[in-house]
Amino acid sequence: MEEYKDVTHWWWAWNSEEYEAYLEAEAAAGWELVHVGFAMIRHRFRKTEAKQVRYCVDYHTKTSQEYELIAKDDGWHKMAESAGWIMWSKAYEDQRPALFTDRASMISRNKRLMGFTGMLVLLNLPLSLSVMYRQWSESGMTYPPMLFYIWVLIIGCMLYTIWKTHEQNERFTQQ
Amino acid sequence: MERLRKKYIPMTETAFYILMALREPLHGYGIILKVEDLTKGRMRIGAGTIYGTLSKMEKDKLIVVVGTEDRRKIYQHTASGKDLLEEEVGRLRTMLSEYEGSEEDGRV
Repeated sequence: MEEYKDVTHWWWAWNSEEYEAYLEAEAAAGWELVHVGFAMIRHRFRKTEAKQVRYCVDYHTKTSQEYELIAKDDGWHKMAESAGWIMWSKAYEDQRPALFTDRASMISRNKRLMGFTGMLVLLNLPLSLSVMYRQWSESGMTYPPMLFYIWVLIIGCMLYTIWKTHEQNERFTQQ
Repeated sequence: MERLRKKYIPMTETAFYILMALREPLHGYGIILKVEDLTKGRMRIGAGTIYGTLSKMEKDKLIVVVGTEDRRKIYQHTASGKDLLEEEVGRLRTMLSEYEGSEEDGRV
């Protein structure tokens, strides 16, 4: 009988290398990733013999058939796709493959992510502020509505992502 | 052209070899293989890197899609792509000759 395990593993946009290394280590320990679920934090692994598999994540604002064809021609298998993120895997023997082979393209990937996240924040600010302010003033409550705190958390996460991704790019530029 | 010069020169190794390979029409994976061949296996451009760079170059009109084969885009460099490549080659030549010149001076 086949043995499976389901794992929730959080990862952050600015720390995708750690996430990729985690998946690779699981494969090396005999747990091969077979399915990626909700928001790319749920993972199903199948017990196999130890394997060498490279996992890489990329971010694009739109899907592209051209990209898929190039990656497939180069031996990559599409594991998952969610909210602009795309995960590729490739089994290997001697030479460890890489999706990105220069810093410039990793910096570009981060810039795409920052651009999109920044746009979401900008679009979100005036709309949600005005909606929430109206709700608040109509309700006559002393404290802002619950929605406000959730909203602050979400916007905070987005701004933090931009900041950390920017930091990573600074590091890449200095290397 | 000035804007492109600022963006592409000095050129990354990836951009340099892509433009060099695209003197002849090739599709994305074809470029990976061609560059591997040109550099005798020293350089194998990753799929994410090549796709990102090709998209950027296509937008900047350094390369152009000249056809499709089995749904894959076939690219070739444009006149401005060729100009930038030659400019970069000139820059590298100057650097190299200055380096060699300084070595000779050192010996005197």
